[in-house]
Amino acid sequence: MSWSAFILTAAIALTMDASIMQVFEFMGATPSLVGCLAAFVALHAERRVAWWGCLMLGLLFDLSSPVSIAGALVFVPGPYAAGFALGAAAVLSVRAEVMRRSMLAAAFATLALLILASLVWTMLWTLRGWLPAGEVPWAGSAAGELFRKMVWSCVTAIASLPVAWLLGRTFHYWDFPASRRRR
Amino acid sequence: MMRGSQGPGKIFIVAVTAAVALSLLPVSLLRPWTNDLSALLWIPLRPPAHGLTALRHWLRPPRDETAVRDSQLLLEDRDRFRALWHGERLRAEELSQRLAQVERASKLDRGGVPVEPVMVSITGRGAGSSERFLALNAGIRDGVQKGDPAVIGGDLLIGRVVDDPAETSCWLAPLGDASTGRLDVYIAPADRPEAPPSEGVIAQLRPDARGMLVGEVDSTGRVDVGDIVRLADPTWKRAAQGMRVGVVRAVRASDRNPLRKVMEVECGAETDRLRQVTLKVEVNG
Repeated sequence: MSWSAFILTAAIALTMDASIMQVFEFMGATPSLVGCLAAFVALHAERRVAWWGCLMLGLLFDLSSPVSIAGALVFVPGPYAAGFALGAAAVLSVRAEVMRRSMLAAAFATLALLILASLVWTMLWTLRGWLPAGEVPWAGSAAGELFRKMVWSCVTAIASLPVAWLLGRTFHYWDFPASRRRR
Repeated sequence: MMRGSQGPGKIFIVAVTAAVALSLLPVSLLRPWTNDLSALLWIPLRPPAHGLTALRHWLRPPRDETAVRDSQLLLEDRDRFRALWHGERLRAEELSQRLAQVERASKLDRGGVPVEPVMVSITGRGAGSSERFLALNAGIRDGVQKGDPAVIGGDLLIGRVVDDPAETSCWLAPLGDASTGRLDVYIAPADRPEAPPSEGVIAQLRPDARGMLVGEVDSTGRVDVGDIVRLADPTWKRAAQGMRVGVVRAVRASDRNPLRKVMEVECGAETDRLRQVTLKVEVNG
């Protein structure tokens, strides 16, 4: 995989997630381009590169998600990073069985990756909440937050259909194994 | 488990374990470096994010921009002065209560702190599914301090600056965010918005999962849908006192306690559609 293409696309996705993607808000959830990109990388990159790519995207996502704990603003690097890594594991384990260039496959990969990432995120934050002086960044129950994350995963999976098509147009810049074989 | 070139590799497993460990570290160990790391990451990304935010507002303009400009300004002035009046009245009430005690008045007067309004743009927001924090393009250089309240339209409270701001940026936690915690408010009837706090109903609200503020009041307390909710919380800065928090949207009997009513308050502004807010910055010296 071309790391320069990865870094450039990750920067664009992060920037758009923080600004314009709110236009596409649906059912209170804003689709995430970073989630779509992670699924795209997990589907197409070499296995080891896919693991690292998803971990890095999760880390960048953590560093873009401030939370307030005990009145202090803090970026907790880890919940999304670990979640995206586990999500990548799920996608990597099934990607041989699907037509990777299909937009539907991209949507299912996004859904699977984000559902697992959401589970890990909620679990880690719940664990944090059990620690002494621990706080969680949501109001209500963990189950409620998990439900909202599931909605977010579904909305992002729907949004990944056109995003996958768009990323597919740039396929030869990525230097994935499949694009090398084509050449 | 996959092995060799098929597996993630030992270094990767160590990295994921480190990520899990970092997730559970105390805030005091994370804050010194993660905030700087995030700020560094966003240095090149903030300008394009600001531009795209402007594009988003162009695509989905805030509703109040459609209103007539002059009348809007007049309404904003009216609301601002009304809020100041409420704030001062709260202060006067508080002082009179204290004066009623035997303490010396000179010890009680905290002194009016001059407040300077700073108009700031929203340059982005936190990522994730519950992205409610707003990034603002004002910081220490503009005199912004932790806890400074943000308003729109003169007296409509949006939230407050969370944590110490950076040199040129800060984060705003909207009222509906879980980090707001409990809010002390008083409720003025819709038909008498100028009713003094002593005639209003005192309540404590907390944000729920939908971004609404919920709280309980005595069933004898007269609270109706449409009543106006104003802040009277000593944990917030003085500049925020008396500001409009929102409007009562629902009142129903409490399932747990028949002597109490549950009310739901809708925050007055949709933070998703905001383009600019006014920070009420305390002027020191």
